[in-house]
Amino acid sequence: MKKYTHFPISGISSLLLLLLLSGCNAIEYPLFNGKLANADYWSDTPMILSAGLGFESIIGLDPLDQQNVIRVGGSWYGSLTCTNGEEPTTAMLTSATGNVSTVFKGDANEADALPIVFSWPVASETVDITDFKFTLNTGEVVFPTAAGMLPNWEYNERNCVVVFGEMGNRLPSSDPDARFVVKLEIVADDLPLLLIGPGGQEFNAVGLTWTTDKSPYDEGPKLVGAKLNRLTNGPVGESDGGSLYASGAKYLPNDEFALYDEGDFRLRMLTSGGFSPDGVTGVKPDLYEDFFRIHAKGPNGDTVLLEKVGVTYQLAGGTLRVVGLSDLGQRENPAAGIFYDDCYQEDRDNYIDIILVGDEAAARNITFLEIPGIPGGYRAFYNPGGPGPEPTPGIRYTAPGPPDLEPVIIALDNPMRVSRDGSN
Amino acid sequence: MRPLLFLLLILPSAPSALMAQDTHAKPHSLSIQTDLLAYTSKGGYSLWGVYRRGNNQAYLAWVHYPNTNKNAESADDFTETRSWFRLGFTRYLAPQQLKGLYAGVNLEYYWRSIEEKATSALIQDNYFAFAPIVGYTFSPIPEGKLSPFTVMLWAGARFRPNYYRYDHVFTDTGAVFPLPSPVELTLGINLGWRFNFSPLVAKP
Repeated sequence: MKKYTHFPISGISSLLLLLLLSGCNAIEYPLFNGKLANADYWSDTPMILSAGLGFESIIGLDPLDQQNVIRVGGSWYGSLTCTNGEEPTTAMLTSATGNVSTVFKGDANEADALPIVFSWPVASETVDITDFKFTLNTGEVVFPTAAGMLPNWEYNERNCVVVFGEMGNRLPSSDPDARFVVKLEIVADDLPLLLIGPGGQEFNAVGLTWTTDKSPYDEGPKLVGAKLNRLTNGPVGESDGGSLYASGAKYLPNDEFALYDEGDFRLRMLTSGGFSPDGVTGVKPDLYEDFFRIHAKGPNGDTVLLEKVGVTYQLAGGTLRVVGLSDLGQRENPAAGIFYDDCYQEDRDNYIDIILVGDEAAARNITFLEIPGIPGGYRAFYNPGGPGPEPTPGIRYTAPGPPDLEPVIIALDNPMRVSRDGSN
Repeated sequence: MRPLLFLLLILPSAPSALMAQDTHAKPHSLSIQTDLLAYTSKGGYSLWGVYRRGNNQAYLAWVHYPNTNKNAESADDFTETRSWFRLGFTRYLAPQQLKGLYAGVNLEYYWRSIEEKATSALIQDNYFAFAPIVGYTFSPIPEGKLSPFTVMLWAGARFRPNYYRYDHVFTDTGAVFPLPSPVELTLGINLGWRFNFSPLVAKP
């Protein structure tokens, strides 16, 4: 009798095991692959631009539901309905998050969040929780329990590392019982944090420090950079991140080419924290007039304020017109169920772009990007610890951002960008 | 490190395919083949050496396939060229019913180059892939002098472990060669000449 051995089951098992092993870090790895594509550097000098506590206790909740979110002091937008008739996702109802361990190094459990913004993009393969030593106003020294590149994961971003941990409470700095971060120091570990600067040069960030005397319950997020570039041939580095997120993210594509049919210049802002109109809902591309105005030199040397979208302003050297905001979410498309409503999904990162049309000579006369804020009669930005549209009475949320006037770097001659393959 | 892990996991399982033996006759043959699909790209070619012993089959192939991405969206900006060794271990599944039907696995090691068209900048890398496959071998002219002429049709799904490593950034321009798919269709239409005239399948 002939006896046949079955096709090697052990071989198939080995293959499946291999696939499983190779896929274990399928999400995490791309975020830490060290790649950059036309990432902006915001200064010739490597430095920490901001590193203040963002918000308290709403990261890493289990379960992530209304009761638990409110229990830890998060905001929940329970009455939200979407124009497209779909049920709101949890991410539309709250800024609190569940498990983060699949996309961050480390873990978080009802943790605080703190964005660290650098003037140069980071070599993300060197980012780890052991790089960041925080000192609180009480003198306590703490290290984060998780660190990662979200939400600034695209290859043309990566200036901002977000860490989670136990880093403070919700009392304003004037309160004697307040706990908040007053100092960050980049410290040495097995793989010291590297920043990537002009020409691809690597800078060992160990020793960089940053200090503050403010808590996010004193004042909210603000601008730490503004930079004007020409629009290039296509959205280089946009939506690229080697990440599984790229294919499924409902806020992509969100670049200027996807949103608008015109554009000559991109004024990109870098923020100290996530920007939201209230802490929960997203910024929509048509909200320029609610939050921003651009300062530029007029024909007579006076200051012209670009306050309105679609208005052609006469400046020294020519004209300039604001088209709208980008690097948020997708273009409004009712046929596809995308509306600029409170269900609008945007990337919630530390970058927002203002798209401009006009003459280069005029663009060179842009001087400042301003957020007038509530004192200026405008709306204010909140970080994700903000009150949302339906705050719970008795809970202290993060404060609105202050009025802010950020000098604009004119990067029309030197684009001040760096790329890095980082595959090895 | 991961390529090494790949080899350590895969290679121990491979001999089991070859060691799975019939209880008696072990006819064997050697054939030289080429995959016609390799010639669908200008400059492409493939050369296979296929050894069969009883119902077990192993092969080693070298494939060169320029302009791999010619039908992909990335073709506007990049030219991808792949060359690879393919080591295959297969077994004929049902020699009494469908005597040419086989299944197995291809293990592949790639040399890849990506050229950015605008700048002629070149990035080269290497990687492993594996593909469970099924195939069917037959002799279209079973009698006469042309009986050694064989056709081998095969197809499978090619997996690229750590595929997300394989997107690349061109540092001069920031252009990104896009993330590949973790799974690709892999198939072939092999024509070959069998030099050993041992019977293909042992009779019961």
